[in-house]
Order: sequence, then C-alpha cells, then structure tokens
Amino acid sequence: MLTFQDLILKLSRYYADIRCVIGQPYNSEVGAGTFNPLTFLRSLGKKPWKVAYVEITRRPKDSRYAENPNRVQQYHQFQVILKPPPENPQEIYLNSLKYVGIDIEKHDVRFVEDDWESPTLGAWGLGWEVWLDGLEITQFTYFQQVGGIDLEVVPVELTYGLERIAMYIQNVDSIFDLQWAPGVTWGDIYRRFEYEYSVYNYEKSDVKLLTELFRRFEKDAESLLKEGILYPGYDFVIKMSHIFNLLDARGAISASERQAYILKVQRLASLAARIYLEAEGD
Amino acid sequence: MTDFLLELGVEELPPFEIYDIAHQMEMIFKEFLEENRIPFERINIYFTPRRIAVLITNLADTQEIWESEIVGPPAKIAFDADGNPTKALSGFLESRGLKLEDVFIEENRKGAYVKARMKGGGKSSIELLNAFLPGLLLKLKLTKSMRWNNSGARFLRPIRWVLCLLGKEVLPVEIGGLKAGNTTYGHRLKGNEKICVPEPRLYLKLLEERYVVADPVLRRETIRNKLHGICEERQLVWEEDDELLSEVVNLVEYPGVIAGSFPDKYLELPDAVTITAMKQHQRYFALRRLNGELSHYFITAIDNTEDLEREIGPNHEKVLRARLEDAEFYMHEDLKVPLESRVEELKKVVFREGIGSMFDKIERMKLLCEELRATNCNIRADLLYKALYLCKVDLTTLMIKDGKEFTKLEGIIGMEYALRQGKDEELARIIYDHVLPRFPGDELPLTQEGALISISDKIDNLFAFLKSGAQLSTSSDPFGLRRTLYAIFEIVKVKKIRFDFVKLAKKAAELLEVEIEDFNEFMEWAWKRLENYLEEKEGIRYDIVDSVIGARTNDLWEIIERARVLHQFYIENQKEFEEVVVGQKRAHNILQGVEPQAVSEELFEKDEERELHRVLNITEPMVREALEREEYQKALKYLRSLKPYIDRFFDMVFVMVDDLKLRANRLALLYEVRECFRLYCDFSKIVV
Repeated sequence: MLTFQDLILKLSRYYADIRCVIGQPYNSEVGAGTFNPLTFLRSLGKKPWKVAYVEITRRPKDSRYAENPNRVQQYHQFQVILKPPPENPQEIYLNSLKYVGIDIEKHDVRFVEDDWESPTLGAWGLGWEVWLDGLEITQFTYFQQVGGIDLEVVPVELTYGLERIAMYIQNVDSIFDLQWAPGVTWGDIYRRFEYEYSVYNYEKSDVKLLTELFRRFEKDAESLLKEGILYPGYDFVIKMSHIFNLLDARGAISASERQAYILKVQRLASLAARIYLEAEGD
Repeated sequence: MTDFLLELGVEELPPFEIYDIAHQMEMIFKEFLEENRIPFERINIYFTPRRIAVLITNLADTQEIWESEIVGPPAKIAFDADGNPTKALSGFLESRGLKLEDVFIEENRKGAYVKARMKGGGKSSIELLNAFLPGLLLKLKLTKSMRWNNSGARFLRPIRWVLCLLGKEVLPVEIGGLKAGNTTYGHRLKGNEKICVPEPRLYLKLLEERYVVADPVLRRETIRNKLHGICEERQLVWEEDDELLSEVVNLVEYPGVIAGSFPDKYLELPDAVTITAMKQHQRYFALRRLNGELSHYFITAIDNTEDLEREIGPNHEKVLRARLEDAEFYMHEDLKVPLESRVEELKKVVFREGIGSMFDKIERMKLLCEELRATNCNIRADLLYKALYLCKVDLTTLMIKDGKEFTKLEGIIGMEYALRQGKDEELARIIYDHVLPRFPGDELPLTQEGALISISDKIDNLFAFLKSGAQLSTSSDPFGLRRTLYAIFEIVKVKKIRFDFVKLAKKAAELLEVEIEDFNEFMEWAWKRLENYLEEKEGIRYDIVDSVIGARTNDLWEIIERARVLHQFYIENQKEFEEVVVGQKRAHNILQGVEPQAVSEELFEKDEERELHRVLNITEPMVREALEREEYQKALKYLRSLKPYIDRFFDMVFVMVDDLKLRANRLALLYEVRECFRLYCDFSKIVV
C-alpha cells in the first residue's frame, strides 16, 4: 500500500530526478501553492526555474466539522513549476502518475478545459483539470499573467490534489481513512484539527479583529513594498488574502464588499510582482 | 494528382472551440485553393481533442493557367511629347515585369488606357503550399490564445507536432516553430507511439489501429449508438442533448461508452440538482425511465476501451456519489429552515453595491407588480405577494450560496424547497417562473403571476445596472442588458401581459432614483431594441415597428400586435401597402406646420372633397372601435377602404389653392385623414 507520505516522497523523488528544486511549504497560511513565493515571484521574468513542493492549503469555506468524507478546510497540494515549459509537459505529468503506481493505460485520463484564474494574485492561465476516471486530480496551467504582468516566458504549473490521488490509490472513501504512514491515518493527525478549525472558521473567528488586521496588514504591506522591502511586504499580502478567506467563510463579507477586498489584495500583489522584477533586472 | 494531408498535433483543445477552428481551417484552405485555382476533389477536416487534420483528395499538381487583362495608366499620361514612356508607364511595366512591346492601348468607358494581357498560373502546388502553410496560424481567429515556445506563434493550446504530406513527400514547412514531418501519434494511453504515415490516404486507418477515431462524425455516431443501445437494453430513455453530446465527442479520441449508477436515495434530490451534478461537472448523460422519472443510471464516454469498464466504472460512480453527497448535505441543512424565515435574511444579501439589499429589491418589485396588476386581470393577488417574498430566498440557501456548481439553479431550488416544505404547487411554480426566461430560447413563465414578478424583477435589474453606471449603447452587452429586455418582450408577447411600458419603466426608474436624462436615454434605447427584437424574432421590418411605437399606445403587447398585423399587410400586398404609405407621406409633407382646425362642409367645392369627408366620418369611429377591441386586422381593413377616396382627392383636388379659406379647409380635411391613420400608426415613418 502506498501511504500518503510515500506519495509525497515519490513525487518529490520524481521531480528531483528531472532537476527540480524540491522546495518546502510556506510558513504562512495560503489558499493555494501559487501564493508561495517559490511560485508567485519566481514565475516572473525570464530566468529558468524548476521547483516542486508540498503546499499546506487552507480553504476555510470548505470546513465540514470533519464530517464530510471529501471536504476539509486544510489539505495538501503538490505544486510544480516548470519554466520555461518543456516540450512534453503532459508526458512528464503522466509519467509521474505512473511513477506513483497508477496504471494509467487501464484508466480514463483526460485533460478537460479549465482556464484558471486567481483574481487576488492578478493571475490567469490556460489549461485543464486532469481527470482520472472522472475525478479531478490535478490543475494543469500555462500561466499567461501573474501579478498583472504578462509573462514572456510561460511557466507550466501543475497542482496535484494529494488527498484525492491518495484516496484513489488506496481505494478509500474518506480522507480521514487515508493511511498517512503505516498504522497512522490522515484522521489520526487531522480529525480534531478539522473539527476545531471548522468551529473557529464558522463560529468563533473574531470578525472585528480580523477586519482590523486586514486593514493594518494592508497598510504595512503597502509601506514595506513601497520601500522596496519585498519579502516581508509580500508576506503581509499573503496574510491579507488568508484573512479575506476567513472573513468570507464567516459570512462577514457582502457581495459588494467582496470585490473591493479582492482588488486590495490584487493591487499589492501586483506591486510585489513589479518590485521583484525590478530587482531581478528583467 | 495527389492527396494532401496536414495534421497539427496539439495538447487538448477546448471541446467547443475545436468545431470553430475546424470550420475556419476548412474555409481557409478552400479559399486558398480557389484563389490559386488549384483543382481538387474534396477537403476533409478531421479532429479530436489532440489533433486537427486537413485531408485534401486529388489535388492537382499545378494550378490552372489563365489569361487576364490588366489595366495600366491612362494613355495620355503614359507617353511624353516625344512618344517615350513616362514614369507612370515605366513604373507600371516594372511592377508587372512587362516590356514595352507587351502593352497596347485600348478604349474603355473612361477613355484610352494602357493595357496588357498577362498569363497567370501554372505554378506547382508544392510551391504554393510551401508559401501558404507557414502563415496558416495567423489566418485563424482565436478567442483566447497562448504562446508556448519562442517562435512567437499563438494557438488555443500548444502545438506539439506537425505532419504535412503531399503524396508521399514531406513538405518542408514550419508551423508554430515546428518542422513538419510524416509522423503522428496514436492514442495517449493505448498507443502513444510514433506512427509513420507513408501517404495521406492511410491516415485514418493508421490512427484507428492506434485507438484514435479521427473522424468526429464517426465518434459522434458511435457514442450515440452505444448510448441508445445501453438504453434499449436497460429500458431507459436518453433525451437527446445535442450540446452535451457535441462536447463529449471532443473529450475523447476513442469513443468508449459505459454505464454506471448511483444509490437510489439521491433520487430524492431535485432532478435539476442530480442532472446538474451529472451534466455540468462530469459530462455524464442522465437517463430517464420509460415513465419519465429520472433513473439512477448514467452513461459516460471514456477515452479508453469498454473492456476496462470494471476498472473505470466504479471510480466514475464514486466521483458522482461525492458530488451528490455534497448536494444532499446542502439540501438537508437548507430544509431545516422554513423558507419564510429566510425572508429576513434577504436584508443582509446585497443586491448591488449602493443599491441596497435583496429585500429592498423585493419591496420595489412589489410596487411594480401593483402597477402591473392594475392592467392585468385574473391575477391571484394572495399568491402573487406570497411568491414575491419567497422568490429570492433561495439565494440564502447553502445550495445556491456555497455549492458553486449549483448556483445556476436559482429559482429551481426555491421551487423545489417550497414543494418539500409542503407549499402550494402553484406558489412553488410561481417562484420558479420568476427567473424565466434565463437565456434566449429558455422556457417562459407558466403562471401569469410568475410572468408579472419576472417582468418586475427584470425591469428593476435594468435600472439597477444603469444606476451603477452600465452603458446602454455598447454593442457587446457585457451585463446582458439587451438580453434582459428581450426577455421582457418575450414574456409580454407570449403571456399577453398588458401595461404601459413607459409608465412602468418610469416607476422603476423613480424607485431607484435614476436621473431623468438616464431614463430618457433608456426609453430611446429600449424602443430601438424593440425594433431589433421584432426584426430578429418575427422578421418584421424595423421601420414598421418604428411607425407603431408611440402611436397612441405604450402597451408593448399592443405595439407588437399592431406591428405584426401591419407587417402581414405589407407581405400580402406590397404594392397597396406602399401606395398607402406614399399617400400618408404626401399628406405628412403638406401638413408640415399646419395646426388642427375644424372642417367646414360649406367650403367644399368638389365632389371628391365631400365624398372623402363623408366616408371618413363613417370610417373613423369604426377604426377607433376596432382598435379598442384589439381587432387590428379589422382596423387596418377600414383604413385601407379609405384609400380610393384619398387617391381621388389627391388626383382631383388641388390643396394649395390661392384662396386661403379654401386652402385651410382642405388642409383641415387632410389633417383629419392623417389623424385617422395615426390611430393605428404613423405611416409616414415607413420607408418606401
């Protein structure tokens, strides 16, 4: 049985073998691996960059009190960036599935049009969701724009849904039953975490505090970025995004305010992108 | 004669866009061959998600030879005083590669010109293709395109290989930065090896051996037949869904088809929810039992062979189960709260920035519905108002709010939850009716109450958009304003909802405090759209609609009916129609600046005057009465009966006589005639 940790190790090995830097999750709450500077900033400019890493991904709105077998508010992505794009990215991707033991020849694998967009990051791209027997297991995107900047060299982003792939391989019906390591399940590690964060996300988060934090982080991000202090500044942009997600899950953001919040994050993310490019000199 | 084959090997193209690209390719090649006069037998276009191919059979080796006459500069500026060629002539000769002895002078309508006969054509097809193919991608119109390498080429998705053969020969062209060869690839999973294609005619066969059905028509038929086969076997019915089938055809290279099922308990979900989960997300075909009920079976195309059904099928079932599980969770949670107690929550749901909440919107819709009620009978007021307050509450449900996938089910969820909470069936239906029609060609409200709420909702939407700065005159219609207005027209037309459009719009505008200039602009825009609408949907000439608009009525239904009947007259008897119009135009011109005045019979001099006046006095009340009874055909018939009298009047009576009294009286008579016609419409606005 391929455990969850084996899956991570194997994918890491596979991408290390094709000369990717094996990165690590970012130490701040993110809604997707794209927020990690290893993707967001390094996708910019012409410098070649190949990286692969696990991202711990927070989606407060998917909180289900550990009761839904398919939805959790924190899960794991395996994120890959290949820049410039190789001539055979689909083949590289499909081989990685074989490498972790999926006998794709005997299954129904399809690349179904799904153009990806992240309004908060001012980013979009063309690509697909990859289906394995109807299950969406990966988002596959050719970035066209990041931080509001058109990309001259187009990176390929692969985002594997690790839990989904593991459930498929292990043939279990619930995330919580996944074998993380021999004798240890996903639920052993995260069940209480899921429950308590569901309580927090839906019931206990302090809207006043969060609203205030968003405002202050915005101020800090802006002043830092304007001084050209990139990474700390960008960190506050990441935090803004997470707080926005928390407020959104709490139902504290009306449809009209929503757009304004998104634009605030987007503006500063774009600023960070420009500053990164200036320093990189291309 | 040889066959030509071009195949672009691509990463999966978006399923609907493939059709468009394929069509464009066909047109581009057709144009190329016709323009260059290269005879050929047939252009075949094949495509799958991973390739687009053009196979031209029996292409001639060379283009035809033709002779054509070309015209140069006028003779008088072609030679100088000494008879030597001028710059104008030598420039012409040079540009066409001609010598002086090749040209001659000939008269045409504009005078004497230098001319030459040129021979064209005869070039080899290879040469022409080699020059044409590299620019192929630039000729395509792409909605959303990307770059993927440093060739600068753009396409929908990356191109990974190019195969290009003329007969057995590889054409040395480069497309999208890739050199053409004679190899292709088989099915990604079943036969992904390089395949050498020795000549174009073997293309389809070689691919089929590697599990690729490149002919989309064949894939479509195969999937359809298998679908029907499974249905027959299991006593099920598939309601033909052309859109979904067209999409699925381009999601597979090999048309495998398998059936699956989900637990019966999910059949308790509203059909629309279950079908959305199958169709929208998974592109599965939903099936019904012979009695019309939704069945727990589904069919899906797989891009693999059917012998793997046992491996693949259960996984598809699992995915669908998870989706349905989500939906069931939403519904279960949602039904805990009675719809009525959600009304309060609408105060927190923002309708539009700066325009207040959904609840505010409903209050406005209520006032508009009151207005509508006044002019429509058989409206059950109690049901109307009950439904009005409940029609938007599904916006507060998890299914619509959180279930990203199910948001399109607005209205349906309201209806389904109402039924599940034991509400009156009519009430539930009105809730659903109020969102209809959602798109062109969608079903229309079944109930009159639903029609009223729908109209009030839509007109409020229009002014809300205006209020938040949407532009009316843009051609692209990004906010769907035109579509919304068309929906109102459609409901009015079919459901015969009667109301003064200007009055209702004014009320809606006032409720949102829309500036008067914006309102005026709106009305102008809306009337123009009505012209477009009737022209598009009913083929009625815009000027006929224009003539009816503003003529005595602002009732949309009446305007549409009058225009229809008038158009019918135009179709049936174009000559008479035009003569009536010309007569009215003439009257209109003479009457410029004329004030109304009583006709005095004593001042009549001629029989034609007296006669016209007598007939008019009889006819006018008849026209009025017919219009009041909404018998437009009759009204028009009466008007037409006036025509001979008017014609005789114009023939025999001179209006602009010197005697001012006489002239005024004749103008007054003409004025009355025109006013009588204007009861129906302003004929002078019609173009002849």
